[in-house]
Amino acid sequence: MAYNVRRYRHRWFWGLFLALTFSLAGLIGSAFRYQQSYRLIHEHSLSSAWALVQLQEEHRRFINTLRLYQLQGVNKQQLLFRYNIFWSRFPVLLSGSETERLDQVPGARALISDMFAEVQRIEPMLDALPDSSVEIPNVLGWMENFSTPINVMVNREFHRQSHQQLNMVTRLRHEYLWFAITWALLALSVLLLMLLLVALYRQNRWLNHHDSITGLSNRETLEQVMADLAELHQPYAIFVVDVSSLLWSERLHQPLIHNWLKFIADNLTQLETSPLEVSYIGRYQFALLTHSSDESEWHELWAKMIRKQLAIPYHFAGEDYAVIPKIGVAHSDPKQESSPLELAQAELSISPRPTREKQSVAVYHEQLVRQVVRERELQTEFSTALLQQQFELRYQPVVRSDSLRPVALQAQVRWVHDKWGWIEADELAAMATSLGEAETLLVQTLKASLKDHKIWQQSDGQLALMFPIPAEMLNESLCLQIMMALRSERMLGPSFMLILSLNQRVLPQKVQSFIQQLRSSGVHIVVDGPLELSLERVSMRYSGEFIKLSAALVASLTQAGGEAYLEAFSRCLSAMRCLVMCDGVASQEQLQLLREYLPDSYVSGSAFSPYLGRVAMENYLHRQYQQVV
Amino acid sequence: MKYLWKWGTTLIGVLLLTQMAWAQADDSSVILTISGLKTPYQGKYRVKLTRADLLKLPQQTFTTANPWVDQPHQYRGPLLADVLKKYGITSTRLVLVALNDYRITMDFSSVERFEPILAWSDNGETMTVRNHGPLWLMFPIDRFSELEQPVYNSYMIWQLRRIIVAN
Repeated sequence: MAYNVRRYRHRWFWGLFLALTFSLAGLIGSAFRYQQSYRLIHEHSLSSAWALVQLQEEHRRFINTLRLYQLQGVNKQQLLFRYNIFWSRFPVLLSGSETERLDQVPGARALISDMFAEVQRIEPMLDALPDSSVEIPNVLGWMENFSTPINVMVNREFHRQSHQQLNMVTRLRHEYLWFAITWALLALSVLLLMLLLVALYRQNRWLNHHDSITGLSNRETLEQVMADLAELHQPYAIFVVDVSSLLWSERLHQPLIHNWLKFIADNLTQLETSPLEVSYIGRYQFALLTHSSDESEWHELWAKMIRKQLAIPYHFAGEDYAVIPKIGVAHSDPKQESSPLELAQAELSISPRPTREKQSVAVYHEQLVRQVVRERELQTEFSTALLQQQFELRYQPVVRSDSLRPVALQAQVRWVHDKWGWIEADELAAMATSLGEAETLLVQTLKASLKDHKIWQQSDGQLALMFPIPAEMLNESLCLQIMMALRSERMLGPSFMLILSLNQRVLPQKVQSFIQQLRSSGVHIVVDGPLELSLERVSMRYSGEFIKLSAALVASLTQAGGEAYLEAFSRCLSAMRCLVMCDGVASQEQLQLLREYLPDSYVSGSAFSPYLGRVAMENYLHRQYQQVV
Repeated sequence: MKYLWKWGTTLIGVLLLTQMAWAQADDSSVILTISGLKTPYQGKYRVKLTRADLLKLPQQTFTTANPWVDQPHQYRGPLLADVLKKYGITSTRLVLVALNDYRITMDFSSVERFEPILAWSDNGETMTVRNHGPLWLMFPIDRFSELEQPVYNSYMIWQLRRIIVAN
């Protein structure tokens, strides 16, 4: 198998790593030993032999001076001077700085003590000179008796120490050799590692280059086959299988990815129903060319086959890897005879943003081009629209379920595009998030809505503003900007409510602290999102005092079991002392039910008013006040 | 009796004078020779110094320990710098030679700041050949901790007899 080669390379890395480690350890060890030996050699000099040599030399000089005195070559004073120098060596050796070293020489202390005793014994004779000249031959004899022992001792000690030093020098050379060898090993390991890295880099570069060339040539070949089929008027379909999700595996490097791609290609050629062509078209995409069929679910069957084949795990380094592909399909156009576009169409079918139906096959249809073009254009123009404030604010009144009196306005933003019409709030929010402009859009919209609201509040001081925001977007800067906007418009208090959309069960600690921060600053929170999450948050008493029921939930209340559900829910709310806001009330029947079970609730929806622009909202509010009056 | 007293006092006087002459001879014997070349191509010079010559110079005294004695001793003698200065020696490269011909080369500029002395007295007693004399180049080791290094120990030459000034 091809991936065995990769394993081998893996071992190479381990091998080099071990070699590096051992070389480094060896280098440190040998350097330490070398330093120790070097220090030992320099500390261990021939000092004890040297001290003996000095004594030997003074002994020889004294005997020579004595002989000269006999021959009247020197006078008594000169003889005594030499005697004193000779005498002064003994205290140094026997009880001075050289004693410790002398004691290392076997027999030296005894010999030198005897010698010193003899030297002290002859002192009165020398002092009595020239009267005691007759004793000079005896003195000479006594002194010469020590010549042989001291010479033997000096020679023996000198050779012993020389031999010892030679041994140490030899050892030092060996250690130096080891030191050099470990250095060489370390250098070699580093060199090999660098070579391997360079080879890998070059191979990766070659593989990337090869990948794009292969993709291009395969694409051309495939288009040629498609053109041939079109000329023969044979209907065909082309599946594009995108496996780019394999890049999520962080442990994989480029050569391994190419091996995996090869493995996937092998698997795709072994489908239960063999395709006409299987080609790698680059960028982690494969194309499968098959005969087309009009049968319903035909695409799904093929997608199922492909998925099943790709579910075969790729085994590497003791682990199994699998890839979840994105599959798109396009059918041939019987009218078209040349330049088949199906490959590009199939690619296009998987290009839009992922939908909830991730597992199904994306079938190309003509609207897709329009959709992709629209998305690209909108993304391009978004920043300009944001700068020029091309977004329109709309409001929906929120009324009390019992009196139907407006109590709040729910804000929403949409983009009125010259070419593509209205871009609704959900799509706009998703687009802003993908472009990283969500915070700017939100703050800009909030400021505009606060200004609108301030005007209307002059007519009705009870009217609140409800503004939606996704909980996960909360951060320090956004919180600060919200607080600043509210303060500048003096909107803190019950006149402003933040509708907080919860989509995650676990909120990060920071987001929770931001919510608390907003609450403690006087911002009222309405919890939106799946009901169980909202209840959980409210029961934990750190998110809000309002729960928003979604339009889908309100629509389901009129179905079987809805009343029982409402009854249980109302009990739960009263236990938690929490208010409720019901969105999307579309009929009188729903309103009646809500009045019966949730009498204090706030309601909104098309039964009262749709989302209205600024002018229409003013008219609405005007009518409402006239009715009240 | 009169003659006896006369000859007795004369003998004592002669003996005292002889002793003084010996003492004089002891102080007047050469204990240090300083030699070297004068400025290039102008011949050699040789200065022979007796203890009396050294005593004419300002004397320094300090107490210090060293590797050759068990406990701190008090040493006395003139500064080596003063001796060199007196004889107009400017070169700082000195070869110090002991009685047993042991010799060491020393760069005086590197040790001048330690103020070494040519000690002739050890614990108040004049040093003899038998106890490291007649001169011992002594450093105040207790005053400067860096003097405990082996290289400075090797400069502390005893039984110093000659200083060769190298150019």
